[in-house]
Formats: sequence, structure tokens, C-alpha cells
Amino acid sequence: MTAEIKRQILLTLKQCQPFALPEKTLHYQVNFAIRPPINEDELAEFLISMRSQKLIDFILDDLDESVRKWHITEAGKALLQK
Amino acid sequence: MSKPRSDAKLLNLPPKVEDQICDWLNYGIDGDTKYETVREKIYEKFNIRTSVGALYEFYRQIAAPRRLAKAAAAAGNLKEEASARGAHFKEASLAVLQQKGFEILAQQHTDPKELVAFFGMILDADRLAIDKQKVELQRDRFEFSAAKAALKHVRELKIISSDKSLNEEAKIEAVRERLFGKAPGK
Repeated sequence: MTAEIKRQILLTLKQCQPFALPEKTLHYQVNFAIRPPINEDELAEFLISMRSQKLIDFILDDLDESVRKWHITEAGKALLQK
Repeated sequence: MSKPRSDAKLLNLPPKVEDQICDWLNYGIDGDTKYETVREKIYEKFNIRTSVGALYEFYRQIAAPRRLAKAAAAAGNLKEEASARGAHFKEASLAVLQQKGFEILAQQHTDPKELVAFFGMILDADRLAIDKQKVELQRDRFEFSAAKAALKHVRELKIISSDKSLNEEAKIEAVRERLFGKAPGK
């Protein structure tokens, strides 16, 4: 399940390139694809873990710095192609 | 022979039909994105009978991911749109507009065409501002040329000004002709 969620996060962010997806929208989008759905805290844990693996990264919103917007990295794209 | 499952039918559609159904689900039919409405429309337009459950599965697997890709493409195209309309945004400003545009499309049932139309309004406002600057620049140039010409002909202008045989209108015409030459058609 963990691998499936990670893959879904990467797939979702890949579709957004070259733009970054706000975390809330990412949550909504990922939950469309996985069963059972995950909550916001669970998603945040995945995101932090994947960021530490340099598969994804985030930028902060210009107007609201509490909003993180995620994008896939080259390493993330490479992992998807494996 | 058993009939194909209704979700299987939706997952093996010709690309054009698939695109149309994605658009109905993502952006609605006259603003209506209900599965039931889309289900009826699919039958009406393509003679395909399906279920709400199958339609949900189609949305989950195909339409929802496509919305993001389409949002990214539409936001990406704003750069060409700006260039085609002669807008002159700084690269960084344009990037911010594109990112915001993408977020709007990714979050809501906003048709990319609406974003392009909205962006067009911003671009037109930018173009009008540039046109205004151009007019101001032309006026400045004209005033400078007029002042330069006046200085060059200051003595003659004084003579025209004090010529009592000329009325006000004739004096203006004489000054204009002295500074800028004969008007076209005169």
C-alpha cells in the first residue's frame, strides 16, 4: 500500500509539470486513486518522507506561507520510469 | 455470450469520445457535473449505456488525472497567448500568473477556455497600458518637435503674431504652416 501511495503521489505530480500542486489539491487528487483514502496527516508524512529521499520538493505560496505546493524532482521522475 | 461490463465499455473508448466525456465530467454540461447528467448525455450523444458507478470509476482513473495534465497545458500556453497579444510581462510575473492559473484549474471545475478568456482580459489591460504609454511618448515627441521648431522660427512667429491684417484663425494657420509646412490637401 505504501508503495502504491508513493507511486500515486509521483504520478499526480508528474501530470502537473512544470507547475507545483498545492498540498490540499494533491490530497484530493491522490484519494481519488487509492483505496482506502488517506487523511491529511498521513499524506503529510508520505510527502516529508519522499522529500527526504529527494523524490519531490515543495515551494511556499507567495501570499500564504503555510501553503506548500509540491512538485516532482528528476529523481522522482526517474523512479517512476523504473 | 455475456454483455461487456459497463465500466469496461468506458475504459476502452475511442480517444475523441473519451476526451468529450472527460470534459463533461471535469467542466460540466452547462455547469452541471452530476454523474447522472453526464450518464444521460453519454447515452444521448454516443448511444452508450453506462452506470453511475462505472462513470465514477472512469472519472477516478481517467478524467481526474487528465484534468491536471490539461490544467498544466493550459497554464503553459498562457505564455504564447501573452506573446500573441503583444503583452510584455516580466518573465517572473508571467511565471506567477501561470502558476496561479494552473492552481485555479487544478482545484475547481474551471474550463481552461475560461482561464484563457480571463487571462486575455489581463493581457488586454496590459496592452492598453502600453498603448497609453506609446501615445504619451508620441505626444512628448511632438511637443519637443514643436518647441524646437518654435525656437528656430521665433522671429517669424513674432511677426505673424503682431500682424494686424490677420485675424486669430489666420494667425494660427500661418504659425502652423511656418512650423510644420502646408497641411495635406491644402
